[in-house]
Amino acid sequence: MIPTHPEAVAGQPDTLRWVIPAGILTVGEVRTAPGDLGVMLGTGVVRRIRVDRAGVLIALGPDALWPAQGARVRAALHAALEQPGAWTLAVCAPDPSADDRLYEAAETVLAGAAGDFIRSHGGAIDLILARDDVATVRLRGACAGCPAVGFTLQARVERDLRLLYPELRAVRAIALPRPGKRATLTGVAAFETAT
Amino acid sequence: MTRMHRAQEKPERPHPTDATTLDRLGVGQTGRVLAISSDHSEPGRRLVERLGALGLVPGTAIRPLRRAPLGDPVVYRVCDFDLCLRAAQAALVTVSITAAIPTRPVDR
Amino acid sequence: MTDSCHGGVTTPVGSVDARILLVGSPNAGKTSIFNRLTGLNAKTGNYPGVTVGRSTGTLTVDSQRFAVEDLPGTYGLTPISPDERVVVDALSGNLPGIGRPDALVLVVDATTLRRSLHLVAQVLALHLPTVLVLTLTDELAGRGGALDPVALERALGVPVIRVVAHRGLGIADLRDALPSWSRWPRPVLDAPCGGAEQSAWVDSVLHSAGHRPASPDRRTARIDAVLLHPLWGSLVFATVMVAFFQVIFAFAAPLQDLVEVLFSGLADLVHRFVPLPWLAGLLGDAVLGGVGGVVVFLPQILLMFLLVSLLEGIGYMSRAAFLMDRVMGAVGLEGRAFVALLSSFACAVPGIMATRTLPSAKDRIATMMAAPLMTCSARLPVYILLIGLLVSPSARFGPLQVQGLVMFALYVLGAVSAMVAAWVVKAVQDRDGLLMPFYMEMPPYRIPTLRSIALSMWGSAAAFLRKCGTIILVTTILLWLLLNLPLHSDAQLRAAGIDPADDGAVSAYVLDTSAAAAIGRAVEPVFDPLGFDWRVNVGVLASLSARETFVATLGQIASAADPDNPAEALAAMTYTDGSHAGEPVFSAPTVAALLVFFVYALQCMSTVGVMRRETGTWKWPLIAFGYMFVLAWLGAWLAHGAVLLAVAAGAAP
Repeated sequence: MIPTHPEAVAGQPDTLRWVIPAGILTVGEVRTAPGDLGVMLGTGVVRRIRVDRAGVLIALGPDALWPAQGARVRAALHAALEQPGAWTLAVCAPDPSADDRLYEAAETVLAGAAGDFIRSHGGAIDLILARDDVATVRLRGACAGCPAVGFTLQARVERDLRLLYPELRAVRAIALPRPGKRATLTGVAAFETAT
Repeated sequence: MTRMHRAQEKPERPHPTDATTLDRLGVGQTGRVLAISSDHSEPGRRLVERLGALGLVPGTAIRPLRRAPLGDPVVYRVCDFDLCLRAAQAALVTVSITAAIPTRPVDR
Repeated sequence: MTDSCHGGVTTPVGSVDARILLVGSPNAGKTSIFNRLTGLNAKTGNYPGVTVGRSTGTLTVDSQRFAVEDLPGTYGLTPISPDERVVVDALSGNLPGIGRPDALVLVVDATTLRRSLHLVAQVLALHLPTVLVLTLTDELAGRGGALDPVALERALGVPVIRVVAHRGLGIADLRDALPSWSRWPRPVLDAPCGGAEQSAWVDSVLHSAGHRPASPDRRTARIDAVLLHPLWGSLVFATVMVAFFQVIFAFAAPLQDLVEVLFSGLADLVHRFVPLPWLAGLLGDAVLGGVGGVVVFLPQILLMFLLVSLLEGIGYMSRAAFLMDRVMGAVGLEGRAFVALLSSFACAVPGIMATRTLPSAKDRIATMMAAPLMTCSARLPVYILLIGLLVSPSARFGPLQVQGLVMFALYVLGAVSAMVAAWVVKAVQDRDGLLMPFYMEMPPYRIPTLRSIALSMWGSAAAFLRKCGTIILVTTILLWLLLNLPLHSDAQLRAAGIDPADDGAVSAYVLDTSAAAAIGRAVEPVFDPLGFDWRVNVGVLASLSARETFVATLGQIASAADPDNPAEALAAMTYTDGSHAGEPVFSAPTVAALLVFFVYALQCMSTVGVMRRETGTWKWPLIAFGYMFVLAWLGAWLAHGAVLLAVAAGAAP
């Protein structure tokens, strides 16, 4: 049985994010699902199912409540996850607001404790790009070229950012080139989400 | 579980795919719990419930650490803690042997 | 075992704003947190109708008053015995007269998180405001594990507070969180209650929380390789047991001498400065003499409790239970009963309370019935006095002192009798068929905090002093009155042919005509076959309340006969009338009979009281008193006869 557990989604009391290991389902809006889960989606007990990088977001329909439907949803989800190939996704444009959300989340994080930490060490960090669940940042000052950069990024920035944007895949860092050198992508600072 | 028979120098060394009961698992071997057979008596049901609460469910790895000087009970390592069980309780747990044939013959 | 003995029954603590229950598995550190929250004002009692201990206390935060209750440790909320059902009932508010709790503090050991999540799932399904307290996170990190409490909080949906109890970290956070209990976040959905779904849930939560399990504790493994080794482990175990007894005799002695000096000094002062002779007698002999004779053993009791608390705090007691389980199993008990019986060598009262660790009610009853037979420290003054009358200090059997050998033999007799008694009681009880499986967690060795050791020692010492202050004090005063009443005027004395100026004759006459003497003579038919004289009867009857009073009583009687040399007076005491008139009272057969009597008789009201409290009924303490009295009488009679024959055989040419 695929491990999963539900987590609340801030601001959306009818939705639970069912966290599943990455790589089982493709990201997107779910059109049909196998078994009882598909039945619930079809009959409106479940209003919407969306798969993101962190798990399966399941929103209940207007007359349904989680205490009553939860056990059924859980059982149905477990069964449906055994057949990942039977899920179909709605043909979808990439969620247009995802990049905006990532951008805002990243700006918030860099303005917050993680950024303060870097600034307190005499460095500076700017957000360069937020696209496709990957945030690219640039380090300047004392932090550029510092061997602790990799650890700093993973421990602080990625964690804080993932709290605000759970579908985060990676945080990449570019260091400003020293005079005479080209900008390089510090490959060691690229981290995939845990599989 | 099918038993695979093959020629062995020391017949008391069980083949890794053998299933056995926990009380027969030797110190140093590792097993994986297959089932806790309740003989459907009250004491059996109680044991199943309690062992379940302690984490002995099908799929759990279990490893005998040592025996008491008089042979009973035995300390087992179960996921992240140590548990003592008497042979009478251990005999109700079926395990598959997953690793480490001991250098000594398995003793009962 | 670490609860205070003789604690009062819990009563509702006046008005409180909320009731908080602490729930968690054994060894999770729950009691440590309870102690830190409630301080020293905790009370112990019982849940209604069962032999399960209940600890309650109060706490005030932000002018809100909380009643905090420490539930017994449980691994899950599916009960397999009536005792466990009490815990479930307490949580659901099904206990008669006790309402539903308002909020729960769920204490979870971070090093056994995977297993603990089963209990977490069940507790959260109670739908009460719950805060999860993570303990032993420092040990988790130290053993190479990892856990993100923030992520765990997100995954479970309840607040998670990290507490390192032995350093006091996080306790303030927990305390501060209590006033807002009604606003604690709760999970949206119940966790699955079992089976594959629950395993999947556990795996998922642990993964989300960044959980890495701790490696097996290397230090524990290394120590256990020795302590649980068939040869070395048994040797260490034997050494620990011997050390236990060394404490009784060697180490406590200098401290005891100090206490004795103190009390005799006080008695001198009383006799010198108190004007009224009867008051001086009451204070000096009864109060100071009686109570002092008991308080003298306080250093010994403290040292024994210290040793037991230390062994338990470190975690050695479960190793001892593991080593002794087979032996205990031979009489139908289990290893943990050994720990309870071992504690009874100090005092049966904490030993009886230590039976709470036994999951099986039948095991508990059997162990409780046997515990008073273990040679408790109260018997020591009696043994020392009587052995001194029986055997001279210089007598030797080869290289060994005979006195020591006799003492050892008495200890062995007590221990063996206890095992047999437990076996009989267990066998007789087997009617309802509730056979509990034996399972026992072996926690890693941990260094206990000074604070927890001090708390448990304080509990035991306070109970012992309370016993002195109440039962023994009352008994000695009562006895003193019985021995000195009715009062005689000078005229009455002269009429009986006694010269009022002769102190010795007066005291002897007072004693002879006292109320105590009348009682002692009245029960002579019962004790005559054992060779007891009416004065010994008085001592035996008095000691039914507490054994220590036997020495004080004989002391008072001997002082009455010869105030300057009570010890010699005892040895020289002769039967005043009856068939043995003129013969010494403390002959070898009588002393032997007395010794055996004291091995078996239940002579301790405190023990009766705690048995009543732990079993919830008078049936068991009365059965215990009855069977032990019969055993004592029979044993004493046999000893009397046997020694008489031996003496006669020895005297024959």
